[in-house]
Amino acid sequence: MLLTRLKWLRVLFVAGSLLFLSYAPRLFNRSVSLSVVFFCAALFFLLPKQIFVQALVWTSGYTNYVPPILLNILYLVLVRNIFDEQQPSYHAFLPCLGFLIGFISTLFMENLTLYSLAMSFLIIGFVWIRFRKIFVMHVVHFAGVCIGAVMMFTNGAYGNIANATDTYRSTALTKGILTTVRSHSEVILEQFFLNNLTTLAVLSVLCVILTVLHMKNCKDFRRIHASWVAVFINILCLGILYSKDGFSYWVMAVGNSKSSDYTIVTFVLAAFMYSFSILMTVLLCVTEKKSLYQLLLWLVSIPVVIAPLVIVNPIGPRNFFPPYALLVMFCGTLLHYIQKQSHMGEHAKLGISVSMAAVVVSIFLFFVSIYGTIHVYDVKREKYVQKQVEQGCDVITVCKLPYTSYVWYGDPTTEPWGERFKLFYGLEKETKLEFLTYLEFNKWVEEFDSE
Amino acid sequence: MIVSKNNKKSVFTGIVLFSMFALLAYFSVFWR
Repeated sequence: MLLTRLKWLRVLFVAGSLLFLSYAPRLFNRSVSLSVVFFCAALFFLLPKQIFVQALVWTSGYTNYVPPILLNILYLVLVRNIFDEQQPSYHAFLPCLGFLIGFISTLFMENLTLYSLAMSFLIIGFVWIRFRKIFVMHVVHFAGVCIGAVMMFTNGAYGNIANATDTYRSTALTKGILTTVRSHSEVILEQFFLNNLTTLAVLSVLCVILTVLHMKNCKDFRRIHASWVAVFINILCLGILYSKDGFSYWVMAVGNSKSSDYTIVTFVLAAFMYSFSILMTVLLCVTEKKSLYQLLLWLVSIPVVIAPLVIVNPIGPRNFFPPYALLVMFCGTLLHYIQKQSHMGEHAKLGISVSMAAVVVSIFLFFVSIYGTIHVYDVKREKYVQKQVEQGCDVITVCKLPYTSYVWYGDPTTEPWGERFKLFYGLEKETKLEFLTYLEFNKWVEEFDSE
Repeated sequence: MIVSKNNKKSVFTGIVLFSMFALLAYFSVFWR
């Protein structure tokens, strides 16, 4: 509510979140260079359009999906010393903060609540195996997560979801497990793989570089062969995912339901094998234990966050901001490891920084051209709504925003958005709204001003 | 001296990135 009404607050929150996420690998590992920060910022600018629209542009999407993953990453930054050789130690006030972070992070989305639970529990287990000791900080965080999870799942709304009386949310049990798993697997495939090919290509390049670097020092032939097999599978699966349009044409040419099924199964298999090849590359080629644990933490977190989405409704692009953020953390940590292993000099790091800064600026300019135009029409629309209200018009003419696909329900043409639009601008409930395209609206404005 | 220079660079990068994210957020904030 506050974020919807106070624009400056929302701007601060969105910008602060993206800045924190870009810097998170550097906060997680103090020796990470600025080139990695630029790299992560560039990956956030490469966020698939639909995820960007639903998780950052849409206030409700932002409020539900960004804070919980931010809090989880913040907790991991706070307990980053569990990967060090010496026993971790924490400032006296940190457990209180850990409790709050754990508690709050569970109150947003179900899949992230489950992730917080799993991650917090695994950290206690990991620390116990490594140091044979349990720390107050980790236990207190786990307690916060448990209390939050109990509060979350004992909410009456979940009773309605289980009884299938909730009109918005449901589980796989409501629509049939197989039907839900199938349709949701398609959404996961589309949102996290098919719409995300640029970031996946960057990840594949990092994996190839990692494998080549590993070859230099590795004398175990079986390991070398396995690493190359992983690279082959990685590029092969990426290629299959890239050729989605070719497969779509094939489905149309063959024209039966089985061809569509085969294509989906092929893509799901390719996505699964791609993920598996990344895991194999990390396990085979990352020899330094601390980096291996850190990389595995980010990598394993991704399927843990995604898995519950297979059976929970509604599912949409906004659900994929948290796994994308974790993917960026993984890529940033991997780039840092590559820089360390290759003894990359300052000049090479500067080269990466400059290239990534160029990517950031070019995509920024692209977004400004899109959202700047939308913003101009949004301001104009609001101005003329107020003018019409002042003149006591019964029918309010409203401009439809340009670049519709870059805004999530930006035009209140359907309900409940029409009603909410009137509430937001303080219009009478009975007021009728008439919609014009932005080109028609420009002409209408000229006529309106001349009257 | 080196640490201080790196910190300055880091803060400067942070300010530039924050400004870009903020400008983008400012343009992309709508009535809902």
